[in-house]
Amino acid sequence: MRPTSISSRVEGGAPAPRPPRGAAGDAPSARVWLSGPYVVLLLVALVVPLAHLGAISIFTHHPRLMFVAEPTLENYARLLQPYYLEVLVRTLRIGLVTTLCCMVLGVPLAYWLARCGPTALGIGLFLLVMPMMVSTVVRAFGWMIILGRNGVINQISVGLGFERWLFVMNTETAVVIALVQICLPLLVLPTLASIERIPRSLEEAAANLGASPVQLFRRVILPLAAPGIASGAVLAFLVAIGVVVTPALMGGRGSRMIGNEIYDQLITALNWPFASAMAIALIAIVLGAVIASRAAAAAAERFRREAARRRASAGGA
Amino acid sequence: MSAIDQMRQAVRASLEVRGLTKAYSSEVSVGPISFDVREGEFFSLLGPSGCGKTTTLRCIAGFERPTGGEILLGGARLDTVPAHRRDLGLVFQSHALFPHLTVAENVGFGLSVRKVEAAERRRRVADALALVGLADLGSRWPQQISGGQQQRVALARSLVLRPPLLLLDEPLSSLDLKLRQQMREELRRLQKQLGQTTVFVTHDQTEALAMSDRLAVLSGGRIEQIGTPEQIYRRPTTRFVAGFIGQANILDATIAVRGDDGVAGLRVAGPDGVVLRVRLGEGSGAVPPPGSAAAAVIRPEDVVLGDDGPDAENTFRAQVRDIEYLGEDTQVTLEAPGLPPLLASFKTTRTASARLAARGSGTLRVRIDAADIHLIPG
Repeated sequence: MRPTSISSRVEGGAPAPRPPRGAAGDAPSARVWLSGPYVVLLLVALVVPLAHLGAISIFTHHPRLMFVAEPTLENYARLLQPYYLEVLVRTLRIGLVTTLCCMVLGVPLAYWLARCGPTALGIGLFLLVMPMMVSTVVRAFGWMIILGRNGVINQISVGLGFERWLFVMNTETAVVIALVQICLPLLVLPTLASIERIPRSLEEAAANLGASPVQLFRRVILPLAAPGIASGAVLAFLVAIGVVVTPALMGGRGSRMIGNEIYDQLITALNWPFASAMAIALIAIVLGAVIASRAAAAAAERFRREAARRRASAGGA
Repeated sequence: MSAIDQMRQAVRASLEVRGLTKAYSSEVSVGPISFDVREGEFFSLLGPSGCGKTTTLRCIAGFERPTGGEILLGGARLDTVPAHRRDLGLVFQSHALFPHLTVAENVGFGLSVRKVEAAERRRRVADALALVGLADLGSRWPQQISGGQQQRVALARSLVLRPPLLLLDEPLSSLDLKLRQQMREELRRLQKQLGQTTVFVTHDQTEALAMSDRLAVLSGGRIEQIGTPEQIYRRPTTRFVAGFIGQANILDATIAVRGDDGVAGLRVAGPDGVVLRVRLGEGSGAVPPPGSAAAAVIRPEDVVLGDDGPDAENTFRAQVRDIEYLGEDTQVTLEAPGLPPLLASFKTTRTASARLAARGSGTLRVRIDAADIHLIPG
């Protein structure tokens, strides 16, 4: 994610005021062309298809012609049917649970990685990132082998003389387990980068002032790492709600996510207008989540500063 | 004044470090280091980087686990207590203020983790801020105040807890010269007012000499000498201390004759080495037996130039090799037969400069008082 800040382990200190951009009078307009190739790619590969998608989503489905250019809101109206609302709610629920699990597992891991030696960091990063190089399908099969009805865990239980007890495959839980594995590095890497930027002297100062390890973590590490944790959480959430393969392989009929519905409409039902409407809805949720998290962070910061100011003016502390 | 009286309730304690060692690898290790800090004393650990002073401080603070030895505070074992239960004050070189907390919240951090009740906390934070002269800055953020102010906040944050021992880790070295001198005086004044037992780590000999009641000079992981600033400067016990603290002429020599009352003749090493008369004062120990090696330490300011009086002890004629004008002081490198090059310095007054300028044939009369020559083991 951020290889420079991870590898160079900057002992940087407090968030310093940002240096003014474009020093020494070189116009930023001259450098904007450096982003040219990417802007072209963005236009051709993202903006144009997106506009196309948006257009199709308000066209009318036609069994033979796929769609005809007659504007309608029917596709969006269909999203409000109980079945699709349920899929939408389930998608968001799976996304949130996955993100929370990633935070619980990932933040302590990121802290440990940020403070361990360079050798352990190298090994840890490799172990963390390596699964990302394996296809999602292969990873899902791996989970099936472990969690399945005749999977490793149940076979070991039977071998030890117990009953089969783990019947998690084809449930929402199985989907979350697989998604946590997929999303964990996405949360850990930005968190790790932001914890690395917290000078160790702050931790020592807190300990010296009497903060127990738990207090140190809650009062110093968490607030200072919050921006990294937040961006990692948003990333994990966005990936989790957009998956297709994982719920298809790990989940059952009752744990289909919006990605599965889009896939089915696109490939099986050949209803591109409805598939487009669902895609647009998903994109809207994603954008909404990003905007909401930013607004929440800004509001929290404002509230905190305001509270500190009020406390200070109320009498010194 | 009330703030000071409040803070005076601090538990005073003495510190004992006994045989402290810390091994990093087979080559790099610190110690054994032993010293005592008395109640209310300002004690400095002075030495070049890598001498072990910071390691010693970090062992006292609990950030490093000593390999051996004991640390006692007020007679009780300290080295077995985890860092966050030691209740010591510590001011870092980097100040280490929490960037997400206001000045007042920074100062109140220790009280808040100790669950001190809010009203009491506010009062003590206000007192501590008043003590360091920052009563109005409580609502600022650390990034909004100057380096010197950050330093004071860091100090207030430690003092508000009334620690039995205050540790200062090069707290002044991140400040510029003028501010450093000002903070030096202020720190010392506060320390005296509070009677705060303090251990101060620095590589700056001026700071250490100016502020300390006593100091330990460290080198290569060991203590070279412990004493008052005057003892350290006037009566160094090792070659390292003599060379590290201030400027010194260190002349290798052997004891030629030994008289009574600390008087001795010292033959300077080298061909045709002259014999210097030495008169050791009280507290300088006994003169070693004749024939044993010794080194003479002569401070540049004790080399008197252009003295016109009658030929007394230790008087030579010397060539001026080099003159270095340093503002307040002028430094002169002299060469005299039978002596290695000698560094002399004098206050740059009008008469002294005139005397130097008026040297006739290029030679100058030089005198060293026998009582100004200090002996260290050779």
